[in-house]
Formats: sequence, structure tokens, C-alpha cells
Amino acid sequence: MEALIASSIVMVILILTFMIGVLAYKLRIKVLRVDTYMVAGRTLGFVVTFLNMAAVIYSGFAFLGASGWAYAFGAPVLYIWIYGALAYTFAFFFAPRIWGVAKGQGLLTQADFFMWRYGSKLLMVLTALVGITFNVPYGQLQILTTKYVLDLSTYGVLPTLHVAVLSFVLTMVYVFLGGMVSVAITNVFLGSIMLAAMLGGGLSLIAYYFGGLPGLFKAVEAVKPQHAYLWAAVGRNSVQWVITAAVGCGLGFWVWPQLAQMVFPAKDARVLRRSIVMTSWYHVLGIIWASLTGLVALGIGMKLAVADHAFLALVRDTFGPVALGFIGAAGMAAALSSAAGIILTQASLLSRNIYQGWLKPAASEREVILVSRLGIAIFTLVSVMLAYTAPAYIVYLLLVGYTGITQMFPGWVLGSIWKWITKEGVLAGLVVGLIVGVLMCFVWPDYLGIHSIIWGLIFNLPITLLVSKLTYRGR
Amino acid sequence: MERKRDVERLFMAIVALIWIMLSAVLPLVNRPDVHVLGIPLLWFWILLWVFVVPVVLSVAYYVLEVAP
Repeated sequence: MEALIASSIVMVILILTFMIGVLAYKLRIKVLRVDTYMVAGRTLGFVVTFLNMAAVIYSGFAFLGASGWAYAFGAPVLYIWIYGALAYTFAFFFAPRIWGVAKGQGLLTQADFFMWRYGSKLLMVLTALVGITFNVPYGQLQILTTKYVLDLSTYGVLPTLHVAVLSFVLTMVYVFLGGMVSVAITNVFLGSIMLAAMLGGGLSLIAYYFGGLPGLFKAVEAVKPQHAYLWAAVGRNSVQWVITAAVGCGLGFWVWPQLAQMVFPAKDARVLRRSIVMTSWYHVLGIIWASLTGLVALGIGMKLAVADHAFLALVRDTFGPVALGFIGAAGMAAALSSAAGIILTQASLLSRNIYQGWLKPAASEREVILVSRLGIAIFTLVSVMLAYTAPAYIVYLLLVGYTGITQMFPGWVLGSIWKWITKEGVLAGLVVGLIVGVLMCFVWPDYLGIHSIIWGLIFNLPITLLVSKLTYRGR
Repeated sequence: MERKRDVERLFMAIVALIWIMLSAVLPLVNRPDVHVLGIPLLWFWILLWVFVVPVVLSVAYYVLEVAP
């Protein structure tokens, strides 16, 4: 009975989401153009821009992975709190600037910016490929998160991986039909549910068990004193790891191509800035309280086989199936809303930059939309296949992606500020940064306790600047 | 216009300070023996500055976009 109640709530939210996505396509799109499909024709107002951005940013990782990290490691989870905060301060100044360029030049994707700024097809294709490739584990991650949600909220009654894949495919149906319009309008619904669940779930669990933060930390320190601070000399429990992970992710945050694509649909720069301010509130009202539930689970002595189950297992054991259904639906909403943004972005990079930009410059609007839709089908299939064949630990997947994506930082951010950054500099820095970053992920993981993002940038930035200085001809 | 640019620079300086407080200062506040309001200093410090961010950005938005 409990399984039926909780799973029904999750399924109702899923069906509602699907209906909103399809209706948005039916009612809001009169003529489907490429800019409508990829950036909603740059018509989105404050509420839609804000909640669309928040829903894409706060994925399944924010919902379940963060609390899992708090449960398993304690203080290292603070890097998540920090990098979000740093990223919003950065975006407050950077995003309106890049929006202005995109509006003025008719840019629809991040790789469009590289083509316009550096006049290099090679750079455009390379950045599109980086954006597509490093988002692949992110897409898979959302399916696994949905599976975790269903594992708990269906009490093990359903074949959860199959149901997670079905949810993912349903989401991709409305992305396929309506593109950004469907994604954005659906995300208003999903983003609202997520915030209510993170804030309500987190606060109520802390208040219920400990009456407040002092009680929570007292209990945690009694069970695991080392969770209260960063105790290791190297590794993720060290101070240098948290600092470098936070700064690296803070810098890399707005380099993710799907976030660029969530910035472009705003109808003006002021709307965008207001949305970023509100998203910074969303951060402190949402993820902090969701991640603290991992400490609650630890403080009450809960034994978990999978750390990422912390939030949902607590809700299940404390408040019963109705609350579990709602929080589980919110966790699924977080995963699916991010997946929608990711897959749409991958498909846009494929159609706009690889197909139209490189392979067939004379492609018509209709053709580009067709290839976008084909891309959505392909990337959905890839994510599903990976979910079945290569499941991996949630946070590790995210970190691998971050390292690769952040290597576009000099070309994307510095190139938008300084005229003298050249394509040769960006290319050289990007290639070296990618090689070093990947080595520091797989061969010498986070060497000396310094995050691989920073290792990549340590090589990438000086090379970009030096080669740019040498090759700049005052263009 | 000039005033707006100056105000924007002021907020950029405040943001730079926030970056320092949330990164470079961490080795100094990573003290298991110190608690503030019952919360370990490290957690308290980060919670404090993370909450400062939306407040500062809200004020910056008001001053830069609404008040002029």
C-alpha cells in the first residue's frame, strides 16, 4: 500500500510534466523556427528564465548526490555550497554581457560564440564536440538518479531502471517536439516542486530530529567527529581539495553549454540579471538544506548501503509514503529537468555547429530542426545505453565532466572580455588543458589534493595568454 | 553612466572579497575545536558567506538596475 501511494504520486508528477511539455509545444509554438527551438525566440520573462535556469542547474546530483556526500564524507560537501555561491556572483556580471553579444550577433549556442569571436570553424567544432562529449556522463547521471529515486519511492516493487529509462524517454518526447519552449515551461513546474521539496524536506527533518543546526552538529560530532572539519593532508577531505574544487567548479559553472543556452532565451539583460539574483536565493534556500539531510541521517545513526539514498530514506522512515512520493517526485523532477536541458543543448550543438556550421552550411531551417530532433533521439539512446551498461558513482561522473568543460573558460570568458585573446591561444590552451585535466582525473587523480579542473587550468591559462600575446596582430 | 560604472566596480570588489572569504580563508577557519552558536566554525563561516551572496546580489541589482 505504501509503495502504491508513493509511486502514484511520482507517476502523477511525471505524467503532468509530460502533459505540460506537450501542451507548451501545441499552444505556444505557431511557427517552429531554429531560434524558437533552441532559445525560445529570446522571449522568456523573469519567472520562466529564473525557474528554467534553476531547474537545469539543480540536477539529480544536487538533490541526492549532495546529501550522499554529506553522509559519506561530511565537510567536503561544503565545496558544493561554495561553488554555487561563487558562480552566481560571477554570472551577475558576466551573463548580461554574453547575452548582449548573443542577442546582437544572433548566437544560439555557445559554439556559435566561438565561431563569431574567433572566426574559426575548427574551434567551433571542437568546442561543440567538447560540449557534447562531456555532457554524456551528465545525461546518464540523470537516469541513475531517477533510478535511485524510484528504488526508494516504490519500495523495490518496480523494475526501477526500466521505469527510470521510460521517464527519461517521456521527457525527451516533449523536448523533441517543442525544444526550448517546452523545456522552459515545464521547468517552471519542476523547479517550483524542487525548491519546495529541498527547503521543506531539509528544514523539517532537521527540526524534527534535532530542533536546529546546533543539535544536528552536536549529534554528528558525537558519531563522526571528523565530519565537522577537513582533516586530511591530501585527498577530498583536505582543505586544498575543497578550495580547488570550489574555485574550479565556480569558474566552470557558466562554461557548461547548457547554461549558456539557458541564458540566451531571456528577453532582455535586466530580466536575466534578476533571474540570476533569484537563482542565488534558490541556491541558499534549496541545496544547502537538501545536503544537510545527509548529516541528519548520520546523526541519527542511520545505516545506508547507498549514501545517495540518505535524503529519501530519511523522508520514508520519518514522514511516510505521501511525503516520500512528493520528495521522490521532486528528485525525479530535478533529474529530468536537467536532462531536458542537457539533451537539447547537445542536439543544438550537433545540428547548428557540426551539421550546419561545418558539414552543410547551406542547410535550411527545416533541416537544422530535423537534425536537432535526430540528435535528441541519438543522445537519448546513448544515455539509456550507458545507464544499462556503465553505472558509476554519481559525483565522480560530475567531476569528470566539470574538468573537461572548464577548459573552455579562457576562450569563453576571457575571450569575451579581452580583444587580444586569439584562436591560436584558445586552441592551444584548450588542447593542453584537456589532456592535463583528463590525466589528472584518471592517471593521477587530483594529484597533491588539488582538483583536476585546476590542474587543467594551471596549464591552459598561461598557454592561452602566452600564445595569444604572440599571435595577436591588432585585429 | 560613469556613476553606474563606479557602483558596478564597487560591487565587483565586494564580490572579490566574498571569493577570498570562501576560498583563501578556509585554512584559517578549519578548526574543529572552535564553535560559533553551536556550529563548527568551518560550517558557520561558509554558511554565513554563502548567505551573504544573494543579499549582496539583491542590493547590487536594486542599486544598478532599479534605483537609477
